[in-house]
Parts: sequence; structure tokens; C-alpha cells
Amino acid sequence: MSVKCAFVTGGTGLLGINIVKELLENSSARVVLLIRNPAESKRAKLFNDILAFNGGKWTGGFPYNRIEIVEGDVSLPDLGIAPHIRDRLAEAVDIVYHSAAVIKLSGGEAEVEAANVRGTEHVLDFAMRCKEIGRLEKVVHVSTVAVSGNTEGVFYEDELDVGQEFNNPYEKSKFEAEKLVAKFRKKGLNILIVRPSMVIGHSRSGFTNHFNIFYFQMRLLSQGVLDAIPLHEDAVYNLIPVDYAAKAICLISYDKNIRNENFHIVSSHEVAVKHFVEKACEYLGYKKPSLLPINDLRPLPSAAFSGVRGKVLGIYYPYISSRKVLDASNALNFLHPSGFAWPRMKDALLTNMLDFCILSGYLPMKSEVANETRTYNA
Amino acid sequence: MEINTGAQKEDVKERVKLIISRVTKIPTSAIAGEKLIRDDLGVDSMQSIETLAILEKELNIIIDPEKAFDVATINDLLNLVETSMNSSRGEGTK
Repeated sequence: MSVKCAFVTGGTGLLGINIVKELLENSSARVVLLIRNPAESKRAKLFNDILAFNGGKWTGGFPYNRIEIVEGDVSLPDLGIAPHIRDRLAEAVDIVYHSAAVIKLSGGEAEVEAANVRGTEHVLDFAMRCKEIGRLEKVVHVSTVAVSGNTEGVFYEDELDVGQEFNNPYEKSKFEAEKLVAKFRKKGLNILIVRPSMVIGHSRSGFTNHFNIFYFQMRLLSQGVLDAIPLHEDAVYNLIPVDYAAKAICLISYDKNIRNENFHIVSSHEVAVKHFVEKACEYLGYKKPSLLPINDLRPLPSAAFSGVRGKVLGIYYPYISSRKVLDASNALNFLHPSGFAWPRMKDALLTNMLDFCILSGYLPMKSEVANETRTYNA
Repeated sequence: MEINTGAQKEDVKERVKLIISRVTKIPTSAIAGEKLIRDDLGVDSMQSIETLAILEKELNIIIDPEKAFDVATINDLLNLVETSMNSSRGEGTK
């Protein structure tokens, strides 16, 4: 499909901004971004971030004239867009990328529900309007592999409700959002669901505009507050550099023959959590935490891990103890013929992420940690 | 550590402010007792968790995560730390 006008929600988030970059770079589409607070400073940051994800330059000059920013909020009916703008867009948009979401692994149930469930409903209502009065061809709904909850064994792309339970309100909200997608498919919308795993910074520069779970673990290690991490010996991270994730999603979305299918956007190369934590601590000069082996899926022993640090470990625990396998046959069937392949998770790729964390001031090097510790122990 | 005297409370207060400043890069002079942690100081949820985790580690205390949800101002946080110090000390002497 040749995209003429794309409507993107969540366009300032890590994945959304890279979908925008991908559209600007590899299509001739006009890109409309829904943004809650489109103040001039936010626009400037957005353009700077897109450029930064592109290595700081843009061949032929940055295409400002292809970007339209619309004020709105997915949690509001009609996306909070003024009616005359909404109807103008509904006539023009031929693809919607819905990547707006609130990611909170603890608490914030009402906020998560409003943004992720009601937000999806409002976006799909808008898409129905686009289809009815305009030329909409499809919606790309960005979900997450976390809809699989506590499933064990293989989780297939065409599955959703397999009797799983959820580790937090975020997972449940994304599951509920997918159920809404099923309803709107029946109403005639062509909706592709893409389920990414853990998105990290740019594969080469490590650049990120959002430090998510993967980074926060390192931040806690930098402060020396995690003495021990409970870890299944086979635990792996499925990390996807954001440039590859956006490329994969856009390649799938451009295929005009796909209708109402689901795709796992997951790397073919996982990295052992144990290997990563040890290598990262070595690289940054941090004290390595004890990695306590847990050989079954018992709940985290509460006596050993209490307080706020115990709570944090409890939140992370499902993500480093799971034995599920995320089947990605459908995605790979589409991606391989186009020459797409996930990068190997070599140490160099991981250190690119860490180098950017140091450069941006998110993570300190060992010497800085030592200085801070001296200051506060004085 | 006994924290019932005014001077010792001041010491704890200064340490808490230094740790918040270290996590958020906000100058300690801006971290006043009545300030709302999220709305006035712009501290996000990840920074709050990190601050609490460092306080636990450096003051050798255990903070009840459920009570941490109720913390809105710097004074609330100081009270929580004080309560946690007293209760950690109590548990240690059982």
C-alpha cells in the first residue's frame, strides 16, 4: 500500500516517534500526530528527537512540511479534536497507527484504563469515521507481548484469551484493548495488531527518549540498592532496538494483502538476563548483585525481599522468571522475504545502549558512584 | 540511631533532601517541607521509587510500600522515614 496520510497516536513515545521517522524516511506520506500538549517547546523537542534517532541529520533537509500536529488526547471522546479538524482528517487519513499508551507496572489503574482501554476505543471510533466518510484502509494497533500475562509454554500470534492472569493493570488493559479490536474488526475495520517485546534505544547510537524498565534496573544497580536479584537460571530478555521494531511494524503495515492479523514483534535472538546484568555491571564498574537462582515458579519469597526494594523486585520478577515462548512465525513470514532480520544481541549492541545512558547522564560511571557514596556517608 | 531530638531530625532531613537532589538533580534549596513532590518538584514515579530504595539502603530501614503511596509532600516523606526508622529499630531489638 502506498500511504498518503498517516495518523499517529503516541508519536512522541519511544516507538511512536520511530514509526513517524520511518514514515517520513521511507514513504511519501503526510504524517498527522495527535499530541496532548503541542506547545512550541514540545514541537521543537519532537523534531530534535526524530533527527537524533536519524543520526542527527536528514538527507535533503528535514521534511517539516509533511508533519501536521493536532492537539488532542486519546482518553477523550472524539480524541478531543475540534469537530471541523476531525472531519477534515477523517476524509484524508488512509492508515492509523495507534501507539499511545500509559505503561505503569504498579498502581495507576484508573489512568491506565482511561488511556489504554478507553483510548483504544476512541481511536477505533475515529477510524470508523475515517472509513465511513474517507478512504481509511487499515489501523495498526500497537499492543504488547505482555497481553500473554502469566501464560506458560508457547503463546501464538493468533491467540489472546488463553485463561491467563495478569501481573499488573497495564497487562490487563492491553488485553482488554485487544478485545475491543476484535469487536471493531467485526464492524468492518481492517486492524493489524503488533505486539512488541521490550523496546530499547537505537541499535547504533543507543539514543532513546524514554528510559523504560530495562534501563531502570541498571539505574537501581548504579545506586547500589539491589544487593540481590532473584533470577530463573534460564531467564532471558527479548530486547528489540527501536529502529528495528519500527521498521518491522511499518514493513508489515505497508503490505496491502494483510487483513486483521496479529504479529509478534520479537527478536529472534534473546539475551540471558544473567549475562546481561554481569556484563553491564562489569562495563560500568558497578558492584554485581547476587543472582539468586530460582528453579521453579514459586512466588517471590516475601521474607527475603521486603520494603520498597522488595516491591520493585516483585514487579520485575514476572519478567525475569517467565518460561513462555513467543511464537513469531506470522511476523517472520512477512519480514524475511523483505530482507528484514533482527540484529544479533552482541555485547557491542548492549554497550551502545549503556554508552548513551552515560552520555545523557542517566547512568553514572563507577567513579561518580563512588564520589556520591562518599558524600552521603560523610 | 536515636531520632527523637531536634538536631537528629534535622540531620535526617538533610540526608533525605540530599538523596532527593541526587536522584532528581533538583537543588536542595528548592526541596522545602511543604512542597508537593510530584506537582511542585516534578518528581516522576520512577524517581520516587529510586529515592525510596536509596533511603532504605543508606538509612538501613524498611519502608512500607503501601504507606509510600500516601506520600504527597516532602514533610510526608520525612514523617514516613522517621516512622520507618523507629519501627526498623524496634524490630531490630525484639
